[in-house]
Amino acid sequence: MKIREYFILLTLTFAISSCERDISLDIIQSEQQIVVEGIVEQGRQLSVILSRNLPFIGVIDTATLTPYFVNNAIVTVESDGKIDTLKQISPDFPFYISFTLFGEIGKTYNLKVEADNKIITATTTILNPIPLDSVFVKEVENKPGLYELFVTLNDPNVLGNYYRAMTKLGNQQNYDTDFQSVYEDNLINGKKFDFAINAGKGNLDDSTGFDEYGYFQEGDTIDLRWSVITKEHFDFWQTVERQGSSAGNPFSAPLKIKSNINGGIGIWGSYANSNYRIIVGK
Amino acid sequence: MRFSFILILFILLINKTVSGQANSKVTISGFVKDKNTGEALFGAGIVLIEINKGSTANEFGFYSITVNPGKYVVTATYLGYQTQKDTIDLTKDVRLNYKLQTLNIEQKEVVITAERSNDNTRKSEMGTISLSIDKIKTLPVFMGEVDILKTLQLLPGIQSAGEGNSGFYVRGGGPDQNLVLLDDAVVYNPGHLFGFFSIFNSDALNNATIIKGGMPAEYGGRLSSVVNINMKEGNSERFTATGGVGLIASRLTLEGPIQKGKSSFMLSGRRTYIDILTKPFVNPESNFAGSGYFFYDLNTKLNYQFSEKDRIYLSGYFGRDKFTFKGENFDFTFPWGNTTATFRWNHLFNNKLFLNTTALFSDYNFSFNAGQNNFDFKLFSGVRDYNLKADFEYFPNSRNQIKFGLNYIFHVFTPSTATGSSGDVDFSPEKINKQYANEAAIYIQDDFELNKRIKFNAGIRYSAFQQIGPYDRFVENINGEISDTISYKPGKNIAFYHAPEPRFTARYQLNEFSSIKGSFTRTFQYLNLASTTGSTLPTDIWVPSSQLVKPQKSTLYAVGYFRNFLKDLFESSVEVYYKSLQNQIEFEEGATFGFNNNIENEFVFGKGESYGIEFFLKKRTGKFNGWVGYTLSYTTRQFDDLQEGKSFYAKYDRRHDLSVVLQYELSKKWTFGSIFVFGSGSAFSLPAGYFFVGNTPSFYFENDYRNKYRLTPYHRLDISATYYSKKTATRESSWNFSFYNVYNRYNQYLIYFSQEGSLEEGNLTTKARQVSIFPIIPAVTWNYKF
Repeated sequence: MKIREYFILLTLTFAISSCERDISLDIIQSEQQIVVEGIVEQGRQLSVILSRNLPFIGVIDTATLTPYFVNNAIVTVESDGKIDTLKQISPDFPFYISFTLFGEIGKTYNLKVEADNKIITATTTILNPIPLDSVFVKEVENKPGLYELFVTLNDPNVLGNYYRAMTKLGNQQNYDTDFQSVYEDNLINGKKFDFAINAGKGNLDDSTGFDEYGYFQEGDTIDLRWSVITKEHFDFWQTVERQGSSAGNPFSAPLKIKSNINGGIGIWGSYANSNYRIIVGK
Repeated sequence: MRFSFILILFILLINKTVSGQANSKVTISGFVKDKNTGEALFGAGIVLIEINKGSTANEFGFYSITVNPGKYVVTATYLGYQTQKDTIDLTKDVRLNYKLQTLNIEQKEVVITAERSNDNTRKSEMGTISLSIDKIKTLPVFMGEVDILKTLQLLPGIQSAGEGNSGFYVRGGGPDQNLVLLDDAVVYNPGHLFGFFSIFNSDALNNATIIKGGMPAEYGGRLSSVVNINMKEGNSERFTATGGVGLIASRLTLEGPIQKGKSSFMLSGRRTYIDILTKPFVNPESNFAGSGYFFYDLNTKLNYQFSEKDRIYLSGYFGRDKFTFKGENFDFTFPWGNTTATFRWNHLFNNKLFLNTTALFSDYNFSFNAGQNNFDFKLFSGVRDYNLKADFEYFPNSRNQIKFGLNYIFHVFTPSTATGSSGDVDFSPEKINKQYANEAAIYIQDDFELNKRIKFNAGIRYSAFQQIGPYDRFVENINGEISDTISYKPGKNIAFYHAPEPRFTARYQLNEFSSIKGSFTRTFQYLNLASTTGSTLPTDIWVPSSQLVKPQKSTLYAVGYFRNFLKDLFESSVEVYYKSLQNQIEFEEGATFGFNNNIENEFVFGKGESYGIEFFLKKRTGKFNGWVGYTLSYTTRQFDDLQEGKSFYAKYDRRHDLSVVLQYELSKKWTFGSIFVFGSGSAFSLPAGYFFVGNTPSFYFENDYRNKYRLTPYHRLDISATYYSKKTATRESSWNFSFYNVYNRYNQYLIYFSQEGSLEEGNLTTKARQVSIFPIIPAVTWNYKF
């Protein structure tokens, strides 16, 4: 819920005279943690990116990040008695991948990472996919040439389903998400209904800003990935996105990101996917 | 052990009073009122000079003293009023009603000695301060609105919840641990506009009392304090209109007799006009036309006197805040507010036994309604109480003042409930999962003077609480997934708690002008405010004790030295306290408040402690008066499930807290006031750095991140001048000129990190920023009375 943010808007409207200024702070240096970004998807190779958390340091770019990469770690995954050690493909980037283990529906994957004199572990399972009933686009009222992507979800009448939606356009390499990409079924349990999925935030155009944000254009080829995720995976993205939406919002309460990594931070997350392609305006 | 000791003490006392009645004692009793308005003078002192025995008028102005027959000089005193002195020959029971006359300024200097009061050192109570609303009206005010809750924050041990905020913390307790009563009805959210203004319209109020320690047994249900605010009864002598026009709001109060001498009424309203003032400046073509905010309050009170022995009062409060936002394709409104209603029946059984029976209703609710294209969404929450009380006061002799009574409350809690619809599909839950509870208490207390040196106030309250069905409890497994639902049928017991709450204060008089006092207070609280911010937001939710949430418990020990100087012209005190708190709640780490779950599933439980020393020096009377209060305190919390069990400073921790309040009545025309406050910076939390997952930077919080940082110290000076263009007994017109934050200090309201740029563009930067909200703010208010 963003209600708190609306209150802030109101508070600021009220405190017209409020004043903000930059200050310098002595931040107490923290212990370094290993950050795991591990993905398990049905039919795809298991992969992990390993890094460390950063202190607050001036301006950063990809080069500044290099010292925070965790290279040469021992990364193993066990599933159904099969064990594989993941390989780091490039010595410059801490991306580890398995050439023998592929994600399978219903299987559990146990991750173990040895680095920086630490052993960290995590477990996840690929659940059953829940396909969408339909996927369609509608032209936006008063915005000719812009389209909204709709899906029809028939949520099973059992509490505890968690979803994540991602899209990419035909010419893009990677899937992207809206500022809020995960859903739980507390409010919608057992219901069949239509709702809109926004285009990825990477498509947010500085020139048009939020006026056209989230819409697709005539001729776009949209790839939609609709995934069933675990509760822990949902919690991770929910806290990351909630924190992101309150970034720069001075009134938000501190929100610690939930993690399923023992001995580190980040996520070892699984996806049970249903994939769709739709071409707009055809 | 301690508990049984108090019980035995009680039995002894009651025996004593019974045997005492066998003697041929006589009783002098009656009511003390203001001559001009007929309002009861709560706290007025009636003293028989020869034996230095007396009584204090209760909330309804009633007093009673039982002594040996004889000739006495009786004085009736009340601060700011002419003392009335009579010589009476007491041979049988006497009813003596007083109508005291207010002092005018010339008289004030003359009669100071007559106004002498040693209540500070003589009373057994500790940590109790009463304020007359009229007395605070000449102090500097924020945006022209006199605010009783902000004045209370200037007392030692009571801290402001933040810049310009009417919320407060008492001795390390949270904002939900304050029992705020308006004519005995609980006010669940006493703030308008996030607490920048309290809901108390000063024109409608008579007096306020705060009890920050040594809470007597007659009060219960909250751990830390009682703020008891009484509305005006309505002038029983003549019609009057009181009002004001201020910077952001206007007020109007009408009062007068309905049937002279028998009944009177009071009707009061206040409304802000920020929305009306800004409307002409908002372009009607703009995307936000139609957006706005306002709040209003309505207070009313009626009373009817059937006879000397029976009187009824009916009073109510209704207030709302409403914020409306209209965007291009998205709009929402959120209204929220309190409603209270009080019906009181005063009955005098005889000149020693007084009964006040009260029926009360309290309601607080919040809702948020939003619409976007074909999607509608509504979120609402609230709490509602039905409350019955009977409070007896028994004045058996001049040594004892006994109070006893009982109380029953039926609570209905509406958790944060979301409903919505998208086109034809409705997402409303099948039923709203409300929580129902019974709360009950009985109490007895005696204010007992053993001898000239020793005086006790001993009491015991026994409280009980029961959550009953219907209720659906969602049981979570260790992953936090709902694995089971337990449905309770209506009336079925879900959780039951009960506990004794002993209360004890004692005074030892050292000499004529000084005394030592000590107190022990055990309190239980069966409600919690689930808040993420520490100041009360309208979205905060009241949650009852349940199977998971155990009742909050507090034990307070306090010792103090009280001394008056210069013939009671100055009062001073030093109090040391230690308070322990059990079963405190916080949200679990990373709580994101899923819809329609049991909120209690997101809590973790822990304990707290607070200790400190408070200094207070007050000049009560004279043209130049005011006070200085200073508190040094430490407040911590410890939760097994937060930061690996390591204790942390509470949001309510404030090392130093200083207030200086001065008033000077220069002449009939001019009165000046000033307030200076200094407080150590509030504790706050910051991330220790950040990390990347999926190219997005996220803040990284260490395990022990809570409240590790401090804002810079807070200080501020406010000044005011009040000009009376007309002041007679019946008519008054005055201008209050106030400057808030005179030297324009940019106090840190909060600090946060903002991130700009992106990793891909190689310009990601993080900056720490401070927000200050109120610079110097001048305000003019015109107040009138006729």
